[in-house]
Amino acid sequence: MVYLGSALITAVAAVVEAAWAPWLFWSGERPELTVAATVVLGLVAGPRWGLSCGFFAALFRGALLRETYGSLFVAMMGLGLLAGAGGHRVIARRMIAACASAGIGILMFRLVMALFHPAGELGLTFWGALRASLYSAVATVPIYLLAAWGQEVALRSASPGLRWR
Amino acid sequence: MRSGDSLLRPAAVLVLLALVLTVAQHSAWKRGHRSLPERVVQRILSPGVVLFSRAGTAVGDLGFSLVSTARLRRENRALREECSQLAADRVRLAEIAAENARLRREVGCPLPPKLIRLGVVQVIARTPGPLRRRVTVRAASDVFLAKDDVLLEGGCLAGRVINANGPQAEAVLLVDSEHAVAAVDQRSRDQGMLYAEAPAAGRGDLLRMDKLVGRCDLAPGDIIITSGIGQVYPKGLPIGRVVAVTHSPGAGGAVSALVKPFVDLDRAEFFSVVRSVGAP
Repeated sequence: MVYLGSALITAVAAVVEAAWAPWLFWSGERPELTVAATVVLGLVAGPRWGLSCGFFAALFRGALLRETYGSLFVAMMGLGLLAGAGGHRVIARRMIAACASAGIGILMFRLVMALFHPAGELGLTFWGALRASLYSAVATVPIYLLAAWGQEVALRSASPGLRWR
Repeated sequence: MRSGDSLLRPAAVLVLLALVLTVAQHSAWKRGHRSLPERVVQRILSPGVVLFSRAGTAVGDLGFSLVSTARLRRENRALREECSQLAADRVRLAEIAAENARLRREVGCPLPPKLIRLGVVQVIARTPGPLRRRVTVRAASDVFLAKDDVLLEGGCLAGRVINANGPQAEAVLLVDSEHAVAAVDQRSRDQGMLYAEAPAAGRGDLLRMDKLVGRCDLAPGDIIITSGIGQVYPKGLPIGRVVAVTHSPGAGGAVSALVKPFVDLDRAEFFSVVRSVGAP
């Protein structure tokens, strides 16, 4: 269930990210939906989901956006694991905190990518990273709401009467 | 401890898989193609990408149309008003022209020459050199060109025919060093003669207008038209726009203006030919 669910969610995120309409770009930056989904699912559902989402997000993003797998796997799986292990119990139920975490996650992701690639190769810039981080934080809202709803449904089906939030 | 154990195994499997995928990708990229997992993922997800791209473009187009509809409506309304205004002006001008012709007849003033459009000529040869700017033009075989036929482009003066042989003719352009045309400032009615200005590097074709008579009120931006004096060219053909005015020092100093022709004579490939008939 974990793998199927995370594969589906990250596949949708990767598809939407790859097909992001040109008129929705903010000064050349689009939201990093795959990274945001990884961070949010890690926060909401735990480290196992985070890790799994990171794996699939890297797999799909690398294939669709033609990026190298090595740096993607390190960055995505690391972020998913970190979000799940560090934030699952603390900030999972706060949407603003989840959005902020996704924004910080994007910055970390960009940092890892910058370490693996020369800056010119991916067009990585500080202001670009900031814009992408802000944009992704905003785009995290629907992802968080979906993830929270899924978590609520899963919890209720497992033990009726319990509420996630 | 249990949760740590339950995470360790899938993490190890995923890291191992990631390593395999990375190595596969590197070796495939080295050979110049994509790895099998990449191809599989792309094959599966590509239809979704296409679908979302189209949806995004459609939404963007829809939004753009919605946003620009109001602006286009306003623009259309303004253009319609301008059109009706111009139509009214045209009617008024026709009325004025008719009245003008009537008055001319009553006072015995000669009617201005009428311009007949002969057709279009193509430039088939150009005289080389910066000073002698002449062209050989050719019209359709049923058109017989004549000396003093006028060449226009976009309704603006370009030159005139100096030698004609049936549909083929040699024409002198405005910027020929041996050519001059009597001209008048449309605003101030200052009259003068237009000559070709000596060519200079980095500057397009220019004409120099020397003021001939009376007070002078030439200003940059003024439109210069033919004055009809000398009866070489019909009156009122647009020539160019004043780009600079120079005053010679001293009282009664000469005034001259640099005029940029409306026609790009270096690049013109076709001209309209008109003939002035009924000139006194």
